[in-house]
Amino acid sequence: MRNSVLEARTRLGWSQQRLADELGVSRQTVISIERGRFDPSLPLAFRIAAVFEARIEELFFPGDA
Amino acid sequence: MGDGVARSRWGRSRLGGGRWSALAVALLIGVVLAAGFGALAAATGVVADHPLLGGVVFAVCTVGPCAALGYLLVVDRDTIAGATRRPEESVESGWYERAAAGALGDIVVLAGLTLVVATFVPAIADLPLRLVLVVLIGVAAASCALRYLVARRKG
Repeated sequence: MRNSVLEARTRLGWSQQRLADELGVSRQTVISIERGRFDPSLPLAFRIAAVFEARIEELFFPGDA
Repeated sequence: MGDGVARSRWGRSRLGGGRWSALAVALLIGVVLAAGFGALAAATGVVADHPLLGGVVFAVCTVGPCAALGYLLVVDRDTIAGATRRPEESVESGWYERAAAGALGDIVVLAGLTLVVATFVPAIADLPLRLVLVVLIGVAAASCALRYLVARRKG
């Protein structure tokens, strides 16, 4: 699954740690998601979308990273 | 995180409403458990010639694992500095689950192969059960640790 989490995060000027704290996960999790090496669970994907005030399909799309 | 919870390196104990250090409680539990194991070893004659010395050595050797077990039981992870609120959704949880599943597969394969070999080599079938169990646990731990490290390296 591809995603635009990195672009959304940098748009807000947030660090990876800030996003990790907002989501309640480790910084490594944010790193892995941004690199497309870890597909988040559906609840986590929804929280990511909520944090960025976006729809889930605006952040995550099918296909390899 | 900013939820007003006081955090420390080792966290606070769930027992006593968070007033006590988890490490101190765990050490206390470890000493009590280890003393119990030591007394059991002395009573059951694990070291037949020197039961008292054997019991003390047994207690000294088990105090570390017993304290670690105590820590796992009593620590309130919300009070550990750097702990995430949702560890089950973090990538590390996925790494661990894959490593544990792989280690289980390794154990099944190893046990199966050992059983086949033991069928044809009686000397293996006569190995002490304690040695077999120690090897089994060692292989499981090593496999899980190695698989976790590989998964972490891949990111």
